[in-house]
Amino acid sequence: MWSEWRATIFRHTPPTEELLGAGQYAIAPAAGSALVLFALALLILGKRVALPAAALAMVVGFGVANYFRRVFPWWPSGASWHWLPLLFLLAQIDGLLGQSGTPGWGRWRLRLGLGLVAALVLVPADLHHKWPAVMAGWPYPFHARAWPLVAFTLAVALGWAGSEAVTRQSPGGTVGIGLALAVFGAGFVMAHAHSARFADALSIPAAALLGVSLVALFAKVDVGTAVPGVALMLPSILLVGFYETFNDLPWYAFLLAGLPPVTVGLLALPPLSRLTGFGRSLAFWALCLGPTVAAVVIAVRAETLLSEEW
Amino acid sequence: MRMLFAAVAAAALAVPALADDVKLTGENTKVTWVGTKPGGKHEGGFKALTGTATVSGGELAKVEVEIDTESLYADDPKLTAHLKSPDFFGVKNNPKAKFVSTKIEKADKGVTITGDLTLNGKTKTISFPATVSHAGGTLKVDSAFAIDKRDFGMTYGGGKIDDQVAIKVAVEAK
Repeated sequence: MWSEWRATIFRHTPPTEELLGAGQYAIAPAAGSALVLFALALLILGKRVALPAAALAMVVGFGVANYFRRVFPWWPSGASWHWLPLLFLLAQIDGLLGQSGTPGWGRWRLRLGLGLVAALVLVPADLHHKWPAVMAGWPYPFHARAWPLVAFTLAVALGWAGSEAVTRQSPGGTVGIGLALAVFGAGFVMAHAHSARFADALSIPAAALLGVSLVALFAKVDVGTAVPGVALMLPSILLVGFYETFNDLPWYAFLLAGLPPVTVGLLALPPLSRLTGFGRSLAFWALCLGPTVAAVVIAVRAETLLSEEW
Repeated sequence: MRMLFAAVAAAALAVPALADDVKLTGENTKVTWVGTKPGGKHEGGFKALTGTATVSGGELAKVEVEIDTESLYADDPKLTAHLKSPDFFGVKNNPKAKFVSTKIEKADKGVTITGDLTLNGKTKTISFPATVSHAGGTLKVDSAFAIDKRDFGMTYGGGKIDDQVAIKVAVEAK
């Protein structure tokens, strides 16, 4: 029995040296630099700078980890996913602009605008070849081109708005930690899709968010500005990963892994917004990690991580 | 007039001998690789390619090959999937690899072929030795050399896998 469990764990655990490498060059630099910068900003300048400091800490965490891990080129050169660092930066700036007295419709314009830009850059023109659910039939090109663009734009905007709203409703780091765990889970799914690069691409913003959230947990500050980049990166990497990797994972494993920012947002809407105490906590963790756990289970059943992948 | 006709006929007959294009395909041209890591190695290659080898005056004069990167294979199916991902070849974004020779010079043993190799969207000039024979209408080319995967943007996972990748090319085409 024990040996069976051990064999199962071995089939789904990346090689130790790969894990250590990811920890040393991606997760630790992202979490460490974001945590230190955010903590120093609060200590020196006070809690009033929490929103801009959280946004900046995310960008710095992402940049430092990318410097060590080189997941993305610094400037786009060919592949659509090369644009992700720039889109991440824009999301963080947009998120910060949205917090500085911008009216509600203005914030939605920022989210939908950036979501559409990301969709135009990232959604492949021939997605319907890989995903027959996106039909290429009549009325072409609506099914094949327009529908995925609209769906992706809405996924980014709704995930961003929802997770940001819930983060602001619950000052402290709990929501950030939950979202970070969900994004780490999505990274585990990407590892089962046979791409260490895309697994790292998710681990880096997740680690930066974890660093910021750990400080927020003690300082009890609003870190809503730390979320937009994550809300953009999660569906983006999963879409690109779904299209560009070769594996036996079903499409719904990628979809479920990308849902948490949207499902968490349900807490900001009635009747769930009226929940308090234990009920709210239970609802949050179920909405945040439920889709991720389902995605991980599906990934583990469909694929293995054998060390003979190099 | 007769002299002119003879000269034209001679020239016409001589042209095929001067420049003979040999079609290269995945059937008659084998491109294989061996990647190594501390304590192990993996082998593989590419199944589909198209190209032309130009033979002029019995000597290899030019080579142009385009490889379908999605035909990449390895000795482990999981490794094949991983190599096709953006960690290495990113075949969705770079469906073709290309080699175009720019110079073919005689060397002590065979020839040295110099040309531009485009892989993973990056182009680099490489030179490698090859033995060439063209007899009985069959062109045979054999070559073994190494490339540095970092030259072609494959920097991911540095340290785990050796940067030098051994390449073997074997052509037997009519």
